[in-house]
Amino acid sequence: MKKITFKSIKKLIANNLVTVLFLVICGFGIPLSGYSANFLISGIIVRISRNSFLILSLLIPIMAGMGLNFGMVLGAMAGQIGLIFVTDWNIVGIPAMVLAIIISIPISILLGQLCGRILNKAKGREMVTAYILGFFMNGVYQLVVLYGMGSIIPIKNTSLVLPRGYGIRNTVNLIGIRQSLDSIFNLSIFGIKIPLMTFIVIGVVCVFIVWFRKTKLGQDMRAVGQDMDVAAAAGIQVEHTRIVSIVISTVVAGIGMIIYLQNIGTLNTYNSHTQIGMFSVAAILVGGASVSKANIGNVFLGVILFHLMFIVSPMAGKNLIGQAQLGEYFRVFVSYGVITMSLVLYEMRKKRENLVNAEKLKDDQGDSNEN
Amino acid sequence: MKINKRFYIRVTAMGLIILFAILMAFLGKQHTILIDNKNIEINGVELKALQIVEFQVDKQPALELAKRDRLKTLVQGQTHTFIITYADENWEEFVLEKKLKVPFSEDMLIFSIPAFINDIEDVDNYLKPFIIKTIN
Amino acid sequence: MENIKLADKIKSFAHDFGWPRIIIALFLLSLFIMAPFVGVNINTSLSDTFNRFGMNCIMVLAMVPMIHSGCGLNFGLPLGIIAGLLGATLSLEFNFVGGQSFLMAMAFATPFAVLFGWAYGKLLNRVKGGEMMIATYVGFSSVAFMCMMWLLLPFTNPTMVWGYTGKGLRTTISTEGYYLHVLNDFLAIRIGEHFVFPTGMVLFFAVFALGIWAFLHSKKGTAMTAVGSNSVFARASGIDIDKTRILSVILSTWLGAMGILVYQQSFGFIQLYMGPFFMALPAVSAILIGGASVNKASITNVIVGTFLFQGILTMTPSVMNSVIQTDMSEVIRIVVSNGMILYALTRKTEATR
Repeated sequence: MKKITFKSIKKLIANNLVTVLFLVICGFGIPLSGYSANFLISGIIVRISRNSFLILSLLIPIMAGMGLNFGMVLGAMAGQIGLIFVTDWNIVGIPAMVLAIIISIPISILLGQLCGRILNKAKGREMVTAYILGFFMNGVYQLVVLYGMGSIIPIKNTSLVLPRGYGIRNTVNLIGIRQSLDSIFNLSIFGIKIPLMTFIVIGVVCVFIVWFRKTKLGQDMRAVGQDMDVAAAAGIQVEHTRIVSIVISTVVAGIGMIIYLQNIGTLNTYNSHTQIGMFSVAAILVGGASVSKANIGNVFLGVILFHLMFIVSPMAGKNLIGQAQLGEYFRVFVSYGVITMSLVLYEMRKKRENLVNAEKLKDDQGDSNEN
Repeated sequence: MKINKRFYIRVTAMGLIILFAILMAFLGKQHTILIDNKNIEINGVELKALQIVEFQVDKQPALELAKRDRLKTLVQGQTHTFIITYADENWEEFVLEKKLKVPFSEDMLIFSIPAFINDIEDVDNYLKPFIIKTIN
Repeated sequence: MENIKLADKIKSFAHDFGWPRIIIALFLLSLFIMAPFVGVNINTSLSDTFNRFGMNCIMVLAMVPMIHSGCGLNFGLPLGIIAGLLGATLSLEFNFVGGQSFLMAMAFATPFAVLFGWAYGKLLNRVKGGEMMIATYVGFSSVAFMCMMWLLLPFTNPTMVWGYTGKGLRTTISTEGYYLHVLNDFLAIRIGEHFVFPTGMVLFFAVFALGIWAFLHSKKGTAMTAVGSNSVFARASGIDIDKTRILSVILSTWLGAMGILVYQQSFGFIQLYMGPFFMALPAVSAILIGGASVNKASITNVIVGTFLFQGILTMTPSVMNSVIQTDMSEVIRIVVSNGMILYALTRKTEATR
C-alpha cells in the first residue's frame, strides 16, 4: 500500500503542475462567473463533442517523438476545402459530411507528406518548424481559396464567390450540414442535449488509437519516439515512420475540422483554422500531456478544463473588475501561458533526466572500474 | 510501381471509394423546387391555375397554394413522390400521385401544377430547370 | 580553364548564398525594373523602401546578439517591443514633446528592457536546446498579459485613454504632436518632388549598427560569439556561458525596444494590445533573407536582409496590382517571409540546434 505522504502529494502536483494550476483557475472562475451548473455542463458537452476529434489528432505525433503537431492546421485546411466543394455542389446532410471527408483525405495525405518531409529536415526543432509551416501553408491556402477558386478551379454556386468574380467569401454558410452529425440520436438528460452520434464517432477513433498502438507500425513509432538511433539500429525506417505519423495526424485533423464546423454551422474561410492549432495544443497540455507523452485521458481532461476556463473567463472578468474584455484577454493569456509553461517544464525535466542518467552512468562506470 | 497483388487491391479500394463518394453525392444532393400555381401556356394552350390546391412532396407537410401562388421547398436525393390534391368545379376531389426523378445537376427546378394536372405523363412540360436571371 | 573556374566559383557562391535569396533578390530587381513601365514612380518607391528600411532595421539588428550567443532566432522579440511600448506610453503620459519625448521614451524603455531581458535570459538558460519554441510563446504570453495591463494601468493623458470612460489605453495612439517623424525629418534629403531620404533615421541606425559591430569585436562580444559557435571551447577559456547568454538576451531585448520606438516615430502610431503579437516574424525573415542562419549573423545580413524584405513589401502591391489587377501582396508577404524561415530551419547548419 503506497502511503499518501505529503511528499508524494508534492510530487504529484509538481508533475502535473499545469493541470493543477488550471483546476485552481477553474475553481475560482466558476463561482465568479455566476453561471449555472446546467449551462456549464451543456456548454462543456458541446465543446467536448466539437473539439475532441481535433485534439485526438495530436496523440500520434507525440508518440512518434515529433512533439506537438502544430501542423495539424494543414489538416484543418484540407477539411475546409472539402467543405467548400460540398457546399458548392449543394450537397447536404450526412452524405455531404462523408463526401467532404473523402475529398479532404487525399489533400490531407499530400499536405501531411509535405509536412513530414520538411520536419525530417529540421530534426531537433520540429515544433518551431511545424509552427512556421502552418503560417506558410496559410499563405498557400489563401492562394488557392482566395485567388484560385472561381478562376482556375470552377465554382458553380455564385453565392460562395466574392463580388469581384473569384475567391471564396469570408463566411460560408454551412446550413446544409449544420448539426447533421450531432442531430442523429438526439439524447436529452435533464434538459441537456447530448449529441450521441458524435460521441460514438469519437469513441471509434479512441478505440482505433488504442488498437494502433499495438500494431507493428504503432510499436515502430513508439520506438522512434523513444530514441531515433536505437530504432534505426533495430531496422526501423525512421524517416518513413515519422512521415506516416504526421500523415495520420493530418488526416484525423481534417476529419476533426469537419466535425468541428458541422457543429458551428458557419465556416470562417480565412480564420477558422488559424486558432485551431493553438487551442488544441493548449487543451492537451492542460490535460496533463507533455511534449513526449500523451494519452487519451489527457485529451478529455484537457478539453473539459480548458474549455471550462474559456467559457467562464469573460463573465468572471466582468464580475471581478467590471470589464468583460479583461476576461477575454485573460483567457488568451492563460492559453499561451499554459503552452509556455508546459514547454519550459518539459525542457527542464528533460535536462534533469539527462543529468540523472549521466550520473547513473558515471556511477556504473565507477563501480565497474573499482571491480 | 510493381504490378502485383498489392497494386490491384489498392486500385480496387480506390475505385470503391470513388464509387462510394459518387453515391454520397447522389444521396445528399439538395434541390430547390419552386411550386407554381400560375397560368401556364403549353403548345399554345393556356392552362388555368386552380383556385386552391394542396401539394405534398415525400413526407413533408402539405402546402396549400391559392391562385397565382409560388412556393419553395427543399428536397434531398433523386427520386421523389409528388402528391397533388385538388377540387374541380363540381367540388369533386382528385388526388394525383407521381414518382419522379430529379436531374442531378440542376439546383433549382420549377414545378407547374396546372401542367401537371393537365397531363401527368408529360414530365418535360411541368418540371423544368429554373435559372435565376442575374442582372449584369 | 579560366571559364571552368569562374563557373565553379559562381556555383559555390550560389550554393553558399542560397538559392532562395538569389531568387528573392532577382525578384526584387525585376520589380524595380518593371515599375516605370507600369506607371509606378521609381522615386516614390525608392523613398518608401528606404523609409521602411529605416523603420525596421533596428528590430532586425536585435536578432544578431542572440544568434551569436547560440540562443537561436529571437521569436520573443515582442518582449522587447513591450518594453519600448512602456517607454513610449510613459513618455507621453508625462507630456514630453518633440525630440525630448523620443529621448525620454528611450530612457523609460531601457530599464524595462533590461529587466525583461534579464528574466527572459534566465528562462532561456534553463531550456537550452528548445529556445526558439519557448521564445515564441514567451512573446505571445507577454503580449497577452500586457493586453490586460493596458486596460488596467492608471494612465491619464487624454490622447491615450478611451474618451468615454477615461480608463484604459486606446488600441492605437497617435504620435503626432509628440515624436512623429522626429528622426525622419532630421537632415532629410529631398530630391525633386517624390524622393525623400530619411537621413535622421538611417543615421540613427548607423550609430546602433556601429555600436553593435564594435561590441561584437570587443572582448565581451567575441566571448559571445564563442559561446554560440563552440560552447565547450568557451567554457574552457573561462567564459561564463550563462552570464554571456543573458547579456545577449538583454541586448536583444533592448534593441527591440529601441527598434519599435524608431518604427513608431516613422509610422505615426503606437500600437498596443495585439499589435506586437506577430512582429517578430518580419524581423526574423528579414535577417534570414539577408544571409544569416540560425547560428550565424552579421551586420551585413541585417542591412541586406531588411532592404530586400522591405523592398518586396513596398514594391509588390504597387507593381503587381498594375500588372495583374489583383492585390496579391498579402499572400506573397506570407509565403515569402515564412518560406524564408522554413528554409533556414531546415538547413543543416554547423551546430545541431
